[in-house]
Parts: sequence; structure tokens; C-alpha cells
Amino acid sequence: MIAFKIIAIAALVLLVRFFLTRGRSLWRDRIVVVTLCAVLVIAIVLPDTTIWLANKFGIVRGVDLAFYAGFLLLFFLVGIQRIRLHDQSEALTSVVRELALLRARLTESEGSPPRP
Amino acid sequence: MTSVPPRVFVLVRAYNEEPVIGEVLDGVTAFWPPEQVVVVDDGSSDRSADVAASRGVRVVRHAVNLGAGAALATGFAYVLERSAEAVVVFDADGQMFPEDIPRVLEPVLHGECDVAVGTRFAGVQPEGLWWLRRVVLRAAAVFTRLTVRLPLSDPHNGFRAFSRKAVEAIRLSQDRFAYASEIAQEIARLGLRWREVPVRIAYTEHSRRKGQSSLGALDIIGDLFWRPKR
Repeated sequence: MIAFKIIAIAALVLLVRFFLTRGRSLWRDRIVVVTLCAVLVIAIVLPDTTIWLANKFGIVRGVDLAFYAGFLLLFFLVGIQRIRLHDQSEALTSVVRELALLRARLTESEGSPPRP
Repeated sequence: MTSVPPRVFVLVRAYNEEPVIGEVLDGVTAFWPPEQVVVVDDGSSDRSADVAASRGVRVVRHAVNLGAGAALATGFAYVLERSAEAVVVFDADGQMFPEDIPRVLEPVLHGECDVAVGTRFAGVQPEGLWWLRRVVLRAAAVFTRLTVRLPLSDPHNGFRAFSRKAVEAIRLSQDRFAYASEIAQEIARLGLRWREVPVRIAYTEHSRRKGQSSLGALDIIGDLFWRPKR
């Protein structure tokens, strides 16, 4: 059980570290991730505390609160990645289109129809 | 070749169509001057662009594959830069008949509508259309009627003609096949005048293998609901 707790906490710490140091995540995203991870770490280290916290949210069992927090964290991360992918896909489309049109203009200005 | 109005382009989107694009372009250029035919090669990994270029047509090439909607938007941008008055969109997979190009274009050139949409269900029945594809196409028509309130019988038919006004006004944000539904949305949003024109479609071994799978309808619906407009 202790081994599992150590692994789970280490995974969460790595996740936070990764999220804070890699890429260009927004501060509001960082705050949400850090907060949710903190809730999970508390739930792992001090399970009794989660009962108190869970009751504050109208949830009976602490483990349920931890489950919900984990679920929210996962959902949030997937959502962020999806938005980021969408934005990057739009940027890629614009760049590829501009490049294609630019090459066509250049080729035509040289006096021949656009070639691949 | 009959008299072809200047600054009216035929736009052909191609993705890995090397086996058939030469024959398709030979058919198109029998009706249309090569300098008024634009092939948008959507990042093909084969020699589609080279084969197209060998026919003397204009070739615009995406560096990577983006999708049918993105290729159409690039083609629109290209022809607008060259002062197009109208454009006909034609597929490179050999399903469509170049002889139908003047008929699709006619109502647009005569100012009777801004967008002429080909339909495979109003005239000669399509050759080789299998039952599942027919069901999906019919479902797409019902979907368009319900969501956009546009009674198109074949909204996912790629054979269309657009006036310059329509090309300038339509905003495409869907890179993939959902662009067809987006065009219907744009026609409704912009209040463009539209008309359906019967066209012939013949499914070939190549087009069946290459074309969108019937399950692709799920991708289209997913893209429409999950990918917000730019």
C-alpha cells in the first residue's frame, strides 16, 4: 500500500513538474492542474482529510472525492490538448495554404504555370 | 471545344490520384483550356502533381495533406487572386463526367444563381452506387434539411459551380469532408441563391477504393460539432 502511495505521489509530482516546465501552458491551466494534483496528494497522504473535505462538497466518502478530482484532472488535460491541437491544425492549414499560393505566384511570375 | 468564357476556372482537387488524374484532365481539357484548369494537389505522396503538370494545367500544391475542404479553400483563394468570375469544382477520381461541366456552370454564368450544386439523384441514377452509400447520402440530405433548412437532395456531391460573389463570401473552416455540410450552412447563412443541377456519377474500382468510407459520415458529424468555426 505504501509503495503504491509513493508511486502515485511521484507520478503526480512529475505531472506537475512537466506541466510547469514544458511547453507554453497558460497560468490558469497551471493553477487548475496544480490544485487538482494537490487534492489528490492530500487524498493519498491523509485519507481522513478527504472525508472532511468531501463532506464540505456534499460527498460522503473521501475516496469518491479523490476519484472525482482525478476524473476532472483527466478531462481537463484532454480538453486542453484538444484545443491546442485544433489551434495548431488551423495554423498549419494557414501556413500550408500561404506556402502553396506563394509558390504558385513565384512560378507564374517566372512565366510558366505553377509546377509542383 | 466550344467557346469558353475567360476567367472561369475548373478547380480539380487531387490526393493520390496518379492512376486516373491524367485521363480525368484529358477529359476536362477537351472542354476547357488548360490555363483555366487548376489542380490543387493536397499533399499527394504519389506523382499526381507531376502528371497534372504534364497536361499543361495550373498546379498548386499543398506541402502536406490537409483534406478536401482545405484544398477547396486554397483553390478558392488561388482563383480569386486571378480575378475569377466563376469556378466549377470537379473531382480528380474519375467519378464525374467532364461533359457535365458546362451544364453545371450555366445557371451561374447566366446569373440565375450564385451556387449550382450537382445532384446524382435528379437525373441518371449513379452507376455502381451501393446501398450503404445511398443510405448515408440520403441521411446527409435529411441532416442538411433539418440543421440548415436547405432542401438539397445531394449536399455531399462535390460537383458544384460558384459565382465570384459566392467564392468571396463563403468562409470554409472545415478542412476535411465536413466542408460539404459547411457549404450548405454558408449558402443558408449568406442567403446565396442556389440551384441543383443533375449530374452523372459513375463509381469506379479506383474511386470506391479511394473514396470516403460510409463510416466517414461519423467523422463529418464529429467535425461539425467538435470543430468550432474560425
